[in-house]
Amino acid sequence: MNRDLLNKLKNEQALDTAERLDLEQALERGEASPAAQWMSQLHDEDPSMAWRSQLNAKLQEIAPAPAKKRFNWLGTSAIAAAGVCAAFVLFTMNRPPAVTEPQPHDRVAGVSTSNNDLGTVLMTAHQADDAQIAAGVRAPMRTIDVGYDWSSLESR
Amino acid sequence: MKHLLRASMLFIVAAGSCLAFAQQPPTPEALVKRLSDGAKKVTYAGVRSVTMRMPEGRTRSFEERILRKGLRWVITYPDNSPYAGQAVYELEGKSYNYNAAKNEVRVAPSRFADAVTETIRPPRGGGSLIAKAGTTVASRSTWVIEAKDREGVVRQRIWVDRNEALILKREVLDSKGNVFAGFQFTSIRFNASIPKGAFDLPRGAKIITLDAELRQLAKEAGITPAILDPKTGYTLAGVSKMEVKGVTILRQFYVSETGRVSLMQTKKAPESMNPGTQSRRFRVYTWESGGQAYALIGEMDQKELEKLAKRVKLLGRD
Repeated sequence: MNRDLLNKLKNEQALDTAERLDLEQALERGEASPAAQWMSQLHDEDPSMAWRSQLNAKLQEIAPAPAKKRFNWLGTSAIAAAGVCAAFVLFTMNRPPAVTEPQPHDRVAGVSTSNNDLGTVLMTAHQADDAQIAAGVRAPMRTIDVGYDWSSLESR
Repeated sequence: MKHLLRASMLFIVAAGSCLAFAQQPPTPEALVKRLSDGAKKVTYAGVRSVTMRMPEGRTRSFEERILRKGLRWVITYPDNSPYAGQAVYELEGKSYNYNAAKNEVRVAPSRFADAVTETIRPPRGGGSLIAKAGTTVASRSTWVIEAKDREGVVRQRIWVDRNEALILKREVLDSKGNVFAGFQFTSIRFNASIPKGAFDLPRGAKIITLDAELRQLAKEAGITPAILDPKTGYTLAGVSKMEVKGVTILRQFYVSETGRVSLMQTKKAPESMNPGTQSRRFRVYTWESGGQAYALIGEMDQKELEKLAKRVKLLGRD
């Protein structure tokens, strides 16, 4: 049995629970069994400091370098987009309400109406007629009408 | 002495109370009734300043000289006016615009009938009338009636003479309080002597009806004219054309006892005829038919406009 244990130790084979118990008891008792003697002859060598420092150096060499913080385009873009959205929402919420009554300030006839869409011009035309009827006033046709719109010159 | 002082104080208080009571404005309804009842009797010669925002958004101001006897009016213009040489006659519910240079008379329904007899009423959709003391206009004391909409925004003001059945000043306002159209007498003489024949239409002038004018303007614009069926109760009150972004729009303005609408028509709309921003008061209904684009605009809901739009038909077709 003891020889079996010795062989296992020499061959660095795994010991079962009973064998580990036997070995521990034999070592405690200081028996001169082959297994205990073989164990006592084992040299418990402390590793030198030089060896440790070499090991540390090697470990440092082979250890993977700590990952550098790489610029995360995806995350940054998402944050930037969220910021733009938030700014837009704030701008929209704080913007004065849309004008309910059209306020055109361009002439209609023959000139640019870039500030007015067609619908707004038509709406204003109706409002003007409506207000004139309500007020009981009217603008007659100009007396001499040669078919030219002079207001473009009058405004300069 | 003590009694005299006490009596004087009492007199002052009583007189002040009487004065304060006398300055209380009549109710708006009472003022409106007085105006309406007196419209047929008032006679005057007056000068008034007229202001109106034109369809293109510009404001135009000019002076009018008015002779009025009851419901008959004649308006002329000073020599330096762009309307010099013209006269507008308001006779028996019709308006006659005489142009001496062209020797023609354009006939349309009276533009003043409603303003004279109905004077002022709460805005469509609900509102209120308020009367209070007004400023002096043409050296005459006035009461003011304000017509407010449901939101409390003043849409119209009239300054009524305290002794005569006449509006001395009138303002029709937009939602921001800007004057859209109005007038103000600068001087007036009541019970003036009206020259004989002042209301006689010039003889020999060419008569141009609105119907003829509509056909003429449509022809110039290359548009097949359409009209709002008269059976709807709407009467054509004005016709004109305007240029917007190089496109000719034929405009017709209709009035009825219940509302006022504009019918806009063009060969081909360059863009939507609906405004980018919706008005709180007015609605627009647009459609296309037979290669022409139409828009109907009025102070009514969309369904009512749509119903009216179905009654638009080409002129001359029943």
